[in-house]
Amino acid sequence: MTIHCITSEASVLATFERRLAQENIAVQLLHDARKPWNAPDWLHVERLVLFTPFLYENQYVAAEKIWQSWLKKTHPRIVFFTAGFCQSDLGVANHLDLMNLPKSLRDFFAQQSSDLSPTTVDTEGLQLHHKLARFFDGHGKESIFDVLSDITRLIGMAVAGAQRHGDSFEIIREDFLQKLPAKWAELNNRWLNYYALLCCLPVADTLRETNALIAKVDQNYMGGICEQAELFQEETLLNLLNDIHKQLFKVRQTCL
Amino acid sequence: MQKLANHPKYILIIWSWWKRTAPAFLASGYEVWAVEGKPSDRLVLIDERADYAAIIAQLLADETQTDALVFLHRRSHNPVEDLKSVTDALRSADAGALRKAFAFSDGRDYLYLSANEWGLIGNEGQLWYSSGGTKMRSAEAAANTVRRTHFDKVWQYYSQQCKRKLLELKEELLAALWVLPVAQSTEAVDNQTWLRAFKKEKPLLYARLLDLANEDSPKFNMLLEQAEQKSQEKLRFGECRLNFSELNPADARAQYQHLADFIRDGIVNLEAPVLVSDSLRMLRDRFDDLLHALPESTYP
Repeated sequence: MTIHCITSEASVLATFERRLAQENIAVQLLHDARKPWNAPDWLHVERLVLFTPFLYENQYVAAEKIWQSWLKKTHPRIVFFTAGFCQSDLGVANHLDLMNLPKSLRDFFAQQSSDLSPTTVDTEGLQLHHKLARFFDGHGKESIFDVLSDITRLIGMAVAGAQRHGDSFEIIREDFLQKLPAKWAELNNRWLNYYALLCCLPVADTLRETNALIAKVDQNYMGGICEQAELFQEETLLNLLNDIHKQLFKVRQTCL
Repeated sequence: MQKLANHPKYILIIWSWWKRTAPAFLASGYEVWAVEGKPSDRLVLIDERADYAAIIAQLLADETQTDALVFLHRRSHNPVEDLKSVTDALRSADAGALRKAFAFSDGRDYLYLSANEWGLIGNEGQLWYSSGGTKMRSAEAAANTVRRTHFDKVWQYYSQQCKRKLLELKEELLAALWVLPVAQSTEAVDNQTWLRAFKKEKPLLYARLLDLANEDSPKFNMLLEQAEQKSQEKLRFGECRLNFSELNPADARAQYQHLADFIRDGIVNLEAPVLVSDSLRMLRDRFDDLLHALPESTYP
């Protein structure tokens, strides 16, 4: 039996490895949780242990709810466990309390996903699934998708105004384009507030791609959109915004 | 994890507001400022020369459900002693109200605009800070209104500070203790023997553990002080101990006492054979009981 682990504590992992070796269970470090996520080779991963909370960007992060959701949707055959110094609540069968190890770790890790309830342990760490939900839903304001839709709609109406109705740039700027900087700033600021922290997640590659798309829109379009008449009509801009939408949707679908 | 109810929030800052000349500070000894976009929240500026405990008591008399953070400008080398003068006035009869007190000084704390762009206070007696021609404001003086983001960020930082420090010490300490061979052993050992080795290997962690329990040790106090000066990070629990023991709801106060008692009597001063794994499990349990009893989140 081999257990793959994600942890920020190398010394804890070493002690854990020695303990599991007593029962002929091998341990492999899948990812050092102190660093941004880099997709590993999942081929041989059957059992994954996330040590929680883990230290990332100077904060103790609890990401087990996101991990559980993501694995269920992308790697359903992998059995997910957590481990740490938190007590195990009743009904949380997949958490290993390091202070209260079961007699047989082999029996513990032999549990299948169907044996395990969907409830995860509550560690008092930074609840990353709440943060991710807030990123998408806003604080009771517009969702990120609403903001993107507003931006796309304004550009679409500007294009229609120019190409179908022959409106002048001045009219198009007044009716549509001058609303864009504030909307774009809202999206960009929200993104910048959350991006770095979210890169500890298994969707980090998608997030990096999204970051590159947002940077392209910001640098190549939004700065001059109210001044340069040709920018808003470029098909690339709408394509970029659609790609941003698709990537964010993918993150939401797999993590929440 | 418990959740805090949505109460009105008051930040009360006791400082040298009297130094402000335009306009002059009110003779009453305090000024109440509104918070942008939050009609029930308040920033209260209190003159440090006034009877600030009486002012706090008066302002909060009918506000038992209001959450309140008090900031007192440090007057001595013992900020915890300074803050004891406000705890009675600050404490609420309502267990659901969040009440905390902190000391500040020297322009380094999160409260200051000079230390953090989202701070509240700046040059002496002002809600702005200027440096090199740039002026940073936390409020609109003409409207007696403090900017919402500044209020919210300061609120969030300080309301969570103590719980965050507690969780971080718990995780760092237990990780360091659990990996000790003696913690993995099923044999009893003399408590002071294993503890002596731990003190030598991780003196700073041990010093923080003593500090949490307010266990006096000049040697380890000095170590903490030196480490704080070097890292510019507040490692000591200081006001957090006061908040845990005097201002939190009764169950959280009791849990802090259980934790502090166990640190002193079950770890630091115990002279007996122990099964170290049992000691660590009990220490962990006490940490968790206190963490769960504190209603605020640990992080934003």
